[in-house]
Amino acid sequence: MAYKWENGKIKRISLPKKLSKKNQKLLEKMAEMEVNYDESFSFLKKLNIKVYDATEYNKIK
Amino acid sequence: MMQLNIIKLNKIDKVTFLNYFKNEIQNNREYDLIKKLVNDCNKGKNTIYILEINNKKVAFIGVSFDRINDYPSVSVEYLFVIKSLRGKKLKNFYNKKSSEILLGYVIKEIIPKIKEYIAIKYLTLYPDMQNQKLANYYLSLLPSAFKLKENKETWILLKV
Repeated sequence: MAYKWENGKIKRISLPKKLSKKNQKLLEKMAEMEVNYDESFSFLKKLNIKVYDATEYNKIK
Repeated sequence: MMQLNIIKLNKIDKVTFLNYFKNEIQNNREYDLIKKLVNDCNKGKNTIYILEINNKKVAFIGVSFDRINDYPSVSVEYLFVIKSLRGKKLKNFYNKKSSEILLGYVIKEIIPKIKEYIAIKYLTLYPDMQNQKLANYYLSLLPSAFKLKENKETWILLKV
């Protein structure tokens, strides 16, 4: 899902349900690919991020 | 030392949220998109993660589940960075942009946790208004990402 702003209105749009054969093949091929993002996002470990779970957004002052 | 927080939200006080960011929103389009994102969050359609630097909220990302060609996916519904930090590298945070930190958090922290229980194959992004600049930004940020064009829409996908 994503949002599309068109003619002053927002539409919530889904990912395409039916794909062309070319795109189906592309997705099947990519789905088999091994990926590793350790290096790309290694900076995250150094950032000391604290994560909070807020069921109500009450932290804004 | 500067502190980074990420706050996960499943329910939001819309008025307070919009008021907080009102001076950092560029135009009506952005305002409407954020309002819709927040409404959908309150209906349980997405989860929003806010990035906070030294107690100032500087960016947020809305994520949800979807499917593409039967492959389960995590969708980035919207990614917002306050006007004053757009395109800016954060010197105190290894020259990363706020958007990189949030996307990285989704890819490296959230998705692996989901994958412990459920198969996820792709992260999907939709550059609104066929915004070529935004599409190119995502592609440069995530070198293994690729474009998928279908029904006149272009999506950015990343195998995860």
